[in-house]
Amino acid sequence: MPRLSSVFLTLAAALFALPFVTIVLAAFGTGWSTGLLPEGLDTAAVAGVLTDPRFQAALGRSLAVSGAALLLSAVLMVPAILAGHIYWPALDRWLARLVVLPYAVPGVVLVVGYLRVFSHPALALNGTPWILVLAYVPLCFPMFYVSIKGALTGLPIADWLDAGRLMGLRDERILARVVLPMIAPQILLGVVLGLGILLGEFVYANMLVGGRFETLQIYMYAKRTESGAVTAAIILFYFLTILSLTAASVALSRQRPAR
Amino acid sequence: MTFLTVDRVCAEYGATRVLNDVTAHVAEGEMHVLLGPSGCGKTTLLRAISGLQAISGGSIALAGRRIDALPPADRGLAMVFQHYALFPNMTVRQNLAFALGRRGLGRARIADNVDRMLEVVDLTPRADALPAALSGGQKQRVALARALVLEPRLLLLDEPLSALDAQIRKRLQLELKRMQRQLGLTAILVTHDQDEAMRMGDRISILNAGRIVQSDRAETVFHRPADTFVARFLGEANILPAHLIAPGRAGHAVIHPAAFEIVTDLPLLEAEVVDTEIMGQLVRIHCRAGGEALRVDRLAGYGAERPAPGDRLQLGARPDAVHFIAPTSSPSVPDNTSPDP
Ligand SMILES: Nc1ncnc2c1ncn2[C@@H]1O[C@H](COP(=O)(O)OP(=O)(O)O)[C@@H](O)[C@H]1O
Ligand SMILES: [Mg+2]
Repeated sequence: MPRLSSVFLTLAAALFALPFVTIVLAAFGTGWSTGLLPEGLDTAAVAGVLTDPRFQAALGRSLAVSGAALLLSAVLMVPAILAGHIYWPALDRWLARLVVLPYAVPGVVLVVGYLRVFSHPALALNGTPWILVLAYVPLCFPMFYVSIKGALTGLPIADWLDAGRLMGLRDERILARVVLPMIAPQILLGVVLGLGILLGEFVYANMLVGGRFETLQIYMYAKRTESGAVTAAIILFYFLTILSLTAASVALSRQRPAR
Repeated sequence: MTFLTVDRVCAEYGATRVLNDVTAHVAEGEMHVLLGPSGCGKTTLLRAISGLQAISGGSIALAGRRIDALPPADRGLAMVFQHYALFPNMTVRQNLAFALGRRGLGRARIADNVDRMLEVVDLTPRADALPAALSGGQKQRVALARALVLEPRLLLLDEPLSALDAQIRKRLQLELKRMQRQLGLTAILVTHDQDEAMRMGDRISILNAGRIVQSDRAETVFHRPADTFVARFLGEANILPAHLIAPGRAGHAVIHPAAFEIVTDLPLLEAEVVDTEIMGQLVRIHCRAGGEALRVDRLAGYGAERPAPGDRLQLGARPDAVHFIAPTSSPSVPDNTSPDP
């Protein structure tokens, strides 16, 4: 029996690995038109993409937009989650339901709404990167909520606050000096998960800013008609980025606060 | 002289009254044990004294000064929490220094006080360890040091040893008691463990369903319980209908199992042996008398003869070993261990 299951496991692993292997071969291979395997290997396509100024600019824009959105989201969510968890359980129950809304409503519907709201003169952000940042902020909420809430549940925060009150320390000081350091890995986990989502996001980027502010996804989309090797190189880069983010998030979620 | 006076204090959680006219007196330098079943309001009383829990009536005075309107940090007391509440991201030394953060002391003074306190609890070698690296007993001592470094006039200990296993607990009981005597501390120790209460307490107050039912020296509480709740809660005393011992008398008679003597004439009771059980240096004889189950303890020598089931025993006891509880002194609160709904 163990034999049989290991055979199945190997088969499944091979099946999952196939697309990755294919992409690697497509990115580095040359003359792959007749045989089962490419005729030669060549790093030109990969190097070409990585040194393409347009690619570098797109990567920079993606990182800037994601970074800004994650920062804003963290600044809004971390205090809200703490306040709900510690002082306001009723808010906490609502928070749990509200944070998933951006995923419950189809992106297209939200985009139409955003476009109308942000065409108003006072909020005229249409076509600027800022509208994309604002659209991305709520997408990060669930990542922060789930990871931070999980960390808070095991911590004796009420006792820490009580101990602090007897020492004459205000709650803010205990939150800043004890609670925040204890949940720092989970905040970072929220950032990593959010980055993974935002770097791959296409619907909002395409409809809200499109070619006027070319992000990584838009660049990838624009390049889809060029040679297969170039597309494969972009996908490979993207794949490796997500893989390393996933590895980072696994490492972070293993990191339990010490008691 | 009374050092801490808790006078008719009431407290509620929402509509549920948890402390009901609690009155207690603690003398300076004494270890005052607050004993009661879980859920009876012990933690709430400590939190009310410390100011972490609002009171809805009554007053609290420490060293002749009303403290019940003061913020917790200005009351001159410190608390050791049941689960220690150490700051896990700080070393032992930092935990103590952090506690002194708002005292306006200079760095050098803080470092001095912290070092001195670490020596008192014998933790100098572990000063730079994080709490996670400490054993349960060591964490307990850090929590104690963190409370003592505040130089409180009153130390509140909320079941400080209950998370430790029996061996370490016994050792720390002795250590805590020795430290309290040495430093002349006034302390209130909360426990639900009657052995711990007897071992540690200069005086014991027994709390049941939000009321203090008796407050006295350990010996008095043990031998002269105020009501059947106290008698039942402390040890394994026989609580018999009084008329079995003194015909015509109402209420209950309390006799500890080891207070019985086997006599040949003028017995208090005649009992029939049901079973015997060896408990280390004692033999417990389970009997029945007048329809009541009865526990009798005798010293067990090696190979000593034990009565057989069905044997009849003539039982006597010294007059001062029998304590009568009048029916009127039964508490107005029920004897249950769960709180009132
Ligand atoms: N925060 C709270 N909210 C509502 N009820 C509480 C709260 N804390 C304690 N209680 C209730 O008050 C009663 C006394 O609690 P507590 O003082 O913790 O008892 P003890 O320390 O003697 O075990 C219990 O019935 C408990 O369920
Ligand atoms: Mg308690």
